[in-house]
Amino acid sequence: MAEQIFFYFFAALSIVSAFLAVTRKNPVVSVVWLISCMFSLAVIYVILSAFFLAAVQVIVYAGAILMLFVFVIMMLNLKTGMVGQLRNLGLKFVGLIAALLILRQFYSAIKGAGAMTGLPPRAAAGFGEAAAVGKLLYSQYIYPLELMAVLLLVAIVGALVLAGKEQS
Amino acid sequence: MEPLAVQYDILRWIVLSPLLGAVVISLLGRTLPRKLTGTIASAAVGVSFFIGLAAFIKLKGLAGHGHGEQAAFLSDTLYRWLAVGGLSVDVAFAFDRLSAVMVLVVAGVSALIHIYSMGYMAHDKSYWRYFAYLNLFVFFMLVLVLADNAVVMFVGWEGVGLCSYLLIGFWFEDPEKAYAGKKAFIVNRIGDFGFLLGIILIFWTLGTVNFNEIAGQAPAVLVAGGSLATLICLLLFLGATGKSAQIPLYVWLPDAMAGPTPVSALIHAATMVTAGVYMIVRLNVLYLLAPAAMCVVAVVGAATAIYAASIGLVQNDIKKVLAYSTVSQLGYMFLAVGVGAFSAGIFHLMTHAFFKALLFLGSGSVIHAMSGKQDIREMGGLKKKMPVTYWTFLFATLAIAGIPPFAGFFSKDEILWKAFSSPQGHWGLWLIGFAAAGMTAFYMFRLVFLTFHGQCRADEKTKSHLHESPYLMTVPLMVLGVLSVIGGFVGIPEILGGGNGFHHWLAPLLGNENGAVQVSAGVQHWPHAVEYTMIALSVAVAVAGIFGAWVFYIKQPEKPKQLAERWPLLHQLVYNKYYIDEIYNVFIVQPIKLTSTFLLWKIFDAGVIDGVVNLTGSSVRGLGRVAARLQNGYAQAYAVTFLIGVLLLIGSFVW
Amino acid sequence: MIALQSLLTLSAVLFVIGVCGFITRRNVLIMFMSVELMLNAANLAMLAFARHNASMDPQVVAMFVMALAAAEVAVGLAIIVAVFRRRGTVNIDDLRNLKW
Repeated sequence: MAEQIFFYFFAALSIVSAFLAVTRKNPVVSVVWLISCMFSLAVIYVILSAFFLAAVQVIVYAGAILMLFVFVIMMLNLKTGMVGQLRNLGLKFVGLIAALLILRQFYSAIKGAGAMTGLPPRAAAGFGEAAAVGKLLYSQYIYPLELMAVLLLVAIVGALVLAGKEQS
Repeated sequence: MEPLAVQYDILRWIVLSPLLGAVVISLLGRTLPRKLTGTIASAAVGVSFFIGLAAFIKLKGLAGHGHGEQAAFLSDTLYRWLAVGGLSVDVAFAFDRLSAVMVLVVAGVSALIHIYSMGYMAHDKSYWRYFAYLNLFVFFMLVLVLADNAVVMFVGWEGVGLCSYLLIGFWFEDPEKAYAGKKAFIVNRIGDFGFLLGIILIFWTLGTVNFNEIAGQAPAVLVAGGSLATLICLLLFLGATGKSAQIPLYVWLPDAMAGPTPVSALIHAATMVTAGVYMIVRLNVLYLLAPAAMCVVAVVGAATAIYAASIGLVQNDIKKVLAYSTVSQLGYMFLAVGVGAFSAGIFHLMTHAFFKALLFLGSGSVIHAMSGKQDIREMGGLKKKMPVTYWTFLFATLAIAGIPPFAGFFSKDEILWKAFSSPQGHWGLWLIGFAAAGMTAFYMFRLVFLTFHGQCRADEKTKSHLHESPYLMTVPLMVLGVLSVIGGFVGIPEILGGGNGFHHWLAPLLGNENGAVQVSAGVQHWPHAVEYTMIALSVAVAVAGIFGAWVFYIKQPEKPKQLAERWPLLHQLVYNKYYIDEIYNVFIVQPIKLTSTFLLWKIFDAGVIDGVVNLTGSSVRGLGRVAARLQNGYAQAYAVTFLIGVLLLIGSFVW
Repeated sequence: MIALQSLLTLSAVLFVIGVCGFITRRNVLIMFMSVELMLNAANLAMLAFARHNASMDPQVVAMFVMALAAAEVAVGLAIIVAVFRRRGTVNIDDLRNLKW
């Protein structure tokens, strides 16, 4: 029961934070709401017994990625009103309609799948623990893992090249 | 019954060896020493000949007693070239009894002519180009005779046409020679068009282009004597008239003499021009289903034989005389196949290849000695100066005149006999052939007497250069001379005590002999006396022709002039080749040119074709302008497009 | 007891909020954040199924998604900085040179 209360609370929090994150004028405020959303999701991961991923979610998203956003926003020193006038209203309206229709489709898909099915009350042994995930990562998924490492390296070099001082 | 096919892998090297030679020479010829270039080219053809010989021996070993074994052939499939719908074409070679004869003749004569060319062309500046073309020609010719289906044969057919064009116009700096090459190519195109239509029609009716399958299915599918069979055969024959220089498409062959003389010997006497005869014999099953088409073939052949012979009587260019003689002899071959004597046609093809190649090579030797002069009025008395050339030339002349026991006697006599006696024959056809034989003997001995006998009429400068040709040239002459003497012995008719082995060798492949197709009702049996009389008559007419030539050009040299003065109109008509080139020019070439210029170019090409092309371009550009509006640079517009796409995609699953 | 459907619905709602943000906002930075939101929504759905099927593999994939997101943000933000230096704007509608 406590589980359910926690879940609904943080689900609501994540939706509200997400909504506010994409609607705030000031990007810094947006980032703060996004952090709130990511954090709520981390809690939901904990409720789902995915402890390791919850930790990664907090460290990588809230800690690294969103901090990077904040740095860039500060670096660019954007002020309100610098973004320029609103254009293509018709297009955006069509896009919104399409997005809502997609939500409607998701709803029918979820509902059409059948009666409500509860998750198993207990997670399987070791589910979501760092040791189990780690073992899988370094055995069966060793090649994707190494490739991911290369990708990250390339991203770092790329970011340095793109954002570094201009040569001329 | 399907003939037995035996896989024989080295067959492909018969064809590939000259191709390899052509590739090597065209890539490296510029840098290699001349002797080596010529040796490579000759060796490449020699390899073909010896592999052909090995295949021949193997094929001979296969022949047992059953019909299926007698028609057995060696086959070698390289790869499947194309398979579209019902049409599947393999690049495959088949070595049966007919191909065996053709391969040995083609490769053998080619090898001799290659060796001869090393001497004849020794001082030409484009030596390597010449040998590259020559090897390429042999490659295509062997593809033509070895092809196991009509499409591959067509490749060879077009290829030899191309090489013929390249070699006729070999000295293309001279516009007249370049023009002769173009003329040959264009006239051949008309024939090739018919040939291609014929192949398409065969595929359309029989569903196959493979020769064995055609032979197997044609009697069941096509109505004997029906219009479809006749149409196919006439279209194919149109191709043959182009390639083998028959009326009405013979006009290119005399002009083709613009090429180097060995080329005339190889392409325009011994091999390529006989492709039409070969093709008809290869498809003899179809022709036997179309008696009307065979009648056309026989009549055209006979008409060409006498028509070309009459022009040959008065020509003064040594090569032109031989060219008309070739056209005339090809007419004989078509006469033979037209009356159903396929083996006689191929027999004459073979002996003709020997003696006509020899005649051309001999004339080349004379031209070589005469510092390039070709007019026989300026020659004479060369007998002493060039004994080898003289004697070999004389042998070939006796052979073509039909004097026993030289090769030409047996083949020509068989044709004349068949023209008279076979069910499709007619005494009229025989009479024409008989008269042409007399003319042949006359004009050939006129050539010999004017060239080699009497007083030398050349100027002093040329006279001082007169010499016998080098060994590279005389040895092939001698080999061909021997062949011209003994070549006929393979087909001595039964009545003269021979076994007519040549005829029996080819018989399993010829439809009417094995009973698979029987259109001709009731073969009439002639008494031996008739056959003996015929032989005596044809020898007599040849001797009469020779005697006539002797009277006119040795005994009373002033006689021809008097005759020409007495009938000036007739002489002018024949001397100018019946004005055929002029007639073609006025009635065919000029109208086509005018139509092309005014209707096709100015109206159709500039208006309709260009209009359609421009319309295509502008309509695509207009459509592109509309579509370009989608790419407006707004990233979010792309995202919305994307989103709508996703919406539709999910919608197709959910709703 | 938490129903699988509730988790999926949450995921769908977050995803669509991300889509709306991406389509309507002019600021490239906020569009970028919307993309992050969408990635997280997908991750959530994946984990819900992992829990439901007691499967470990989706967690590994979720890991990869996060690593990918990190790489993407690093490069993407670098591009935004470079563009801002040159053009002085972060308005997506001003950046439309790539067209016919």
